[in-house]
Amino acid sequence: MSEALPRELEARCSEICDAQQQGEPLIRNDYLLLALVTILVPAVLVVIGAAL
Amino acid sequence: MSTTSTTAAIAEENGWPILRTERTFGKLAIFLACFSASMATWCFAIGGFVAYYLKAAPGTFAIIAGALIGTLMIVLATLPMSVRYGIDAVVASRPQLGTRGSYVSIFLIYASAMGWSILLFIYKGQAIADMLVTYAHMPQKAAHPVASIVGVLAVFLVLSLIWRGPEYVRSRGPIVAVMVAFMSLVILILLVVAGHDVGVG
Repeated sequence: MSEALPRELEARCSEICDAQQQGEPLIRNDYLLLALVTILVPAVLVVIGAAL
Repeated sequence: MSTTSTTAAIAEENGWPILRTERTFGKLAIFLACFSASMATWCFAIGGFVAYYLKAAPGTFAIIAGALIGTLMIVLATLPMSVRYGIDAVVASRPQLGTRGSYVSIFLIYASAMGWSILLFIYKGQAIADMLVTYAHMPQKAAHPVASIVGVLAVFLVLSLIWRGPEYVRSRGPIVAVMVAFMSLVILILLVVAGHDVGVG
């Protein structure tokens, strides 16, 4: 089963393939910061909280 | 309205990719949207339940740690795809689940949102009824029906707000967040003063 995509959507999909039209992807530092804030910090909080 | 903004609005409404030039949210707007989403009544509900099991300090640590760990999962699941291609979480799940499979994502979002909303409507009704009983404006036996009626009225109040569209809700979010933040501060001060008066702490 195949349905034709609306023309605007098709045009938009090909536009978004252009890196200039895409948002900035997350880089290594972003992932490191994410890991720090959402893994390391909670782990420290849990340890401190359990010790109280 | 220009053709470009009309096309962007259509794209946003249909879950189509939003191009970089069409993304109007700046850092401040994103911050305020996140602030208003996180500063919500469910914080009180979670805080209340945590208080059944933990004291104030470890409970606070547990809530913050839990929220951060949850953030990791949500960010990893949605952010890379959504940021890059300007699509929402449901559309982002289509490559893995397929178009029909993405209904599962829609169901999960609806179930979560409706579950929380229903809880909040019940809390709202209960809180108003308790207040009326406490201030002797009505007898205790009327509390249950009044809570039900207020809960239903709250549903219609929310409907009347969201009826005006996502832009209206988005623009009012920061105002609501500031009001909730102010009320939270007042409640916190009252609790600390009350705790100090009875020697808790």
